Amino acid sequence: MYLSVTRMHSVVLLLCCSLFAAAPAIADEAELKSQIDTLRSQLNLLAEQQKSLAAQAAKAESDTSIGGYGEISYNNYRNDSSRNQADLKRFVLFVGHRFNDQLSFNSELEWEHAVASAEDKGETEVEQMYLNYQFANEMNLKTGLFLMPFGFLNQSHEPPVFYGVERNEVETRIIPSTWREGGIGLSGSSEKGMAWEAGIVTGFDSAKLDDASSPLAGSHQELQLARAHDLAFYGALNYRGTPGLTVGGALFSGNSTQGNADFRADTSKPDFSGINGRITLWELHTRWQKNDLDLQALYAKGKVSDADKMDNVLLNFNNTSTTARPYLPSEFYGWLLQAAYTVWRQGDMSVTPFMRIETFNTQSVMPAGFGADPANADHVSTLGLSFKPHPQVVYKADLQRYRDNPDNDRFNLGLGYMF
Amino acid sequence: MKPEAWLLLPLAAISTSVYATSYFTVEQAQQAMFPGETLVPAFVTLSELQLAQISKLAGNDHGAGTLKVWKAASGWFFVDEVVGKHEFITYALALHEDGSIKQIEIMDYRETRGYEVRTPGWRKQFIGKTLRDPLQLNQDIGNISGATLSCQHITEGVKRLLASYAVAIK
Repeated sequence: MYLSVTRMHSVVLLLCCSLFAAAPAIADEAELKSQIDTLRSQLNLLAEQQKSLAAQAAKAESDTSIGGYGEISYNNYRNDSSRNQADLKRFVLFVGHRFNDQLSFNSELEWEHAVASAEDKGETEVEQMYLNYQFANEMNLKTGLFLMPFGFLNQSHEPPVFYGVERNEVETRIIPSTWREGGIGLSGSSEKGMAWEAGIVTGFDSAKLDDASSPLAGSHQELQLARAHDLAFYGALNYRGTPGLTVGGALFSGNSTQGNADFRADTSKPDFSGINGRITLWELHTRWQKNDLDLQALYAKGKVSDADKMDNVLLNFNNTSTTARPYLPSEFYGWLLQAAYTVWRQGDMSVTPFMRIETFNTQSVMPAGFGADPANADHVSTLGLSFKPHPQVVYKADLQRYRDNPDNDRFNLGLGYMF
Repeated sequence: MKPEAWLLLPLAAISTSVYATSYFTVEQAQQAMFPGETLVPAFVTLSELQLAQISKLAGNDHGAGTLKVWKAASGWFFVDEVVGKHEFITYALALHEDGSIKQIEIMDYRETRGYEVRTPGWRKQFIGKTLRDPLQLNQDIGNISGATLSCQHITEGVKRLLASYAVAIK
């Protein structure tokens, strides 16, 4: 770098000398003109070199980048104040490193609920860790543990970028945010704004299901000693060629019994031999942001094939072992509609009220003979606002009404930041 | 001895670094935005006072102390750099003689997402804008969901260049 700067100075000196050398009163006008043209090209190239030097300097300073986000919440239950809760929801750090122009590394570390230990309820996780190779034509290859490109929230959940203290139910219970899998993903983007992504990744382990109110969250593996007998494929398309508009969707499919691995490791567990249990999830979404209005709509649906076979195995297991393992749904779905409008701005500050209605049912179709728990379906309306003292900081307040399970009605407060 | 021979030597010695994600060199951007015109470098080192005036006019604080600007017959050509999420974005801005925006081109984009800022649809939103326009994301400049930071920073950079033109060049 230092050598180039010296070279630059000697070039400038040389140019000046050349100019003087060419300036006698009888100089040919055409010759002068061609010299000026050459000088101009050189100055452009110098500017180019200065640009690349500046970028190199910046690169040397910031090859490794740190970012993060965090949020704290307070929930006040209108019908049962003993459930009131204040929680440091998450503290997240991104650590990234650029090896060269093509190869970079990205990671996300998360601490949930402030304290993680054997006696505490907190969790510490590595949510993402992947290598990214950038081809020249805007194609990227990811290998490692990364987020699935489904919906809005799964890939964009920094507190200042979504509305409401709590993440919406559809993108928590149906799309299991924060959903990540390990494997390979290839993505690209066309000149007109059509982005696509597809890959082969680890899948779910339905033998792990521990929560009927969130079927996929209860069977995700998170690359934690993940069973890899059944890999899955996924694909996503998003059109963003019209500024302010996003239209997209995604599909995921993979078997989930993992070669009956849990039973083979421990025969005291349920025996799913001969069953595939293919889990398929698809979603469609659209977003329109213009003139301070932000509209979102999303529909997501999941299917578990062979849920009937698996639930019958679980039924026998529960009867003979006096446990109460939850049953898998055949189908589950949810949708949401949201509107937000920024009513006040001053400098970096803004106030944005919003309204959201959503429906979810994590047991919309159950195998014959298996009932659904009414607690696992509801229609929720949320009304609230975000106050941002800065685009990357937010204070939130909202009211949530659960039509069918009004014990869950609550008032929420939250704060969050991202950098 | 013909001076041209001496001039050619340093020309060969200067190299431009080529990134995998470099779409335009300075010269290519100039040719694309002012075809057939000759551009004269007119770099400006901004004083403290000018920087303060620019920050006030633009409503943001980013920006280098040197304005990389060229004068064309029919307007002005700027090269500037902003941060996306973690990486730098280099872009070129062309102004008409009257100071309104003629065109914007993304020269280098190194983030792994948000390439949509390069689409003609997103870039043409800036055409015709002046400092009298809000140049505000989600108001007159549409956002790209998932690339908000890139969109935000480029919009702020453009506003600051318009302010720099008003303060230091006009």
